[in-house]
Amino acid sequence: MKKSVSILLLSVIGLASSPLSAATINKTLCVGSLNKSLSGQSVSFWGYYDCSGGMMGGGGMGGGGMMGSATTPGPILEIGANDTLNLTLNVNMMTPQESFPYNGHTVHLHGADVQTSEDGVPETNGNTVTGDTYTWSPSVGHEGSYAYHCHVHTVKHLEMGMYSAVIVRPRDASGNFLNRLNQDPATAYDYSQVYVLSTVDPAYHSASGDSTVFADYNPQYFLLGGKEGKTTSAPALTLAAAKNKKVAFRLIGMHSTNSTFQIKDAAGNLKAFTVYIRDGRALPTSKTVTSFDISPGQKADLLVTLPSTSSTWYPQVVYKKLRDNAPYATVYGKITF
Amino acid sequence: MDKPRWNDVASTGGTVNTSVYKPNYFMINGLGGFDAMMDHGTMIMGMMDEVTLVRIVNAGQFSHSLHFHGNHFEVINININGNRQPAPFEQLDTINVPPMSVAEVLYTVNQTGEYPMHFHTAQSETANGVYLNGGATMIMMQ
Repeated sequence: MKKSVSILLLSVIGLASSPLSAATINKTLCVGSLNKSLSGQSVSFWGYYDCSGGMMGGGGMGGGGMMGSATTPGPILEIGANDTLNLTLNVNMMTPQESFPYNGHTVHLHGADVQTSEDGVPETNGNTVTGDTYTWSPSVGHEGSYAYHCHVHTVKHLEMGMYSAVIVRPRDASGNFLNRLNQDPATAYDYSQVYVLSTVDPAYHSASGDSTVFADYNPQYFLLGGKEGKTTSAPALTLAAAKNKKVAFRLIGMHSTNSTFQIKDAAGNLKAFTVYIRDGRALPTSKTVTSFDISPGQKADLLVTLPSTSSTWYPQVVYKKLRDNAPYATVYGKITF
Repeated sequence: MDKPRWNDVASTGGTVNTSVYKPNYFMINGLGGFDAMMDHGTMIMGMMDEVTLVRIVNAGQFSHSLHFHGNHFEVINININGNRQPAPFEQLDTINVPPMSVAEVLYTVNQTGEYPMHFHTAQSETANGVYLNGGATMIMMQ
């Protein structure tokens, strides 16, 4: 009870001291195990899930808490520019983890440029890996897409599925989210899709510790939003949109290969889109292109305008080899309008 | 773990099969992560508002995606043969440098703290599988 009173007070102070409406967002993540069936093979993952109900708090054991189910990618977080995010990681006796020295987990707010103590890196934060609260207040002007992921033994924990997106959105004077990529009216959209890119080498999922398995990455499965979309008839992600509308795509590179994003129609013709933001920073000049590379760790926010006649388009990611860009696989999304 | 070792094959007079490339060590300035993280010639070190020019040359055969913690950087040159981009520059926290490519970025100290700069690609964060190693160094802001 004491805790919620102090949180309320902080919110009031936050509102009073800022000309723009700002919210304080408190969220708790737990980590759980899951299996995915990828091309018919079962692969084990670790994923974050929202356990804000708490193990000991209001909801008790039955109110979410440890009973939630983990996903890969984890929950997509949305916050406003100027908001304060207090993201708590709960590591408990049920949490799947490696043995020492790679025990525990963190949350690294990738691209957030937070203080060292909030950065989620065990090697610089005094090895705080058994739970912590990570605080971030993104500035106005830093709207866009970011990632979060575990930074313990990253070569394994990222691969295990401990990642997702944080979307920083602009708010209007009343504090409501604007359907724009940032404060620029040119970035207004009608629909928004988050595309988290990732790749899977199953050998990394069964190895642990300092193993030579981690010296050689051989991805077998290629995902968008945690799903294989190997054909246009079985896309990883679908969107039912409407003619003449604008769709925002938020690309989050949590993969370990090169990749290229494109949008094609059913006949394979490339469609132009405009990139406005990279890594949470508005480009000095927006770029209208038909192909855009996303490398491991990169993010981009872009818009595409749908035409005035009904059709189906296929946003897609080609995953490519690090040495020569030879393609591994194409993963498809789908927009109908 | 079957790993073709070009150096071992070449040093014993064998013929290297260059169609298969599985590097297992990744270095910056000839130093693996543990060493590069303590090398003052490689680390980024500065006081508030100081700007470091970081010149990046990828002399290897893999694309490398360099992720800087702590602050974004400004991209003044990516593979444009020594020419500068016009200001204002794009700001990124992760830059992809393809094989045989160069980049130049400006990293400004805007807060105190210590942060890693590391490659963001699976095995290149290790030395033959040992973490935290490979392509990595430190950013010390005072």
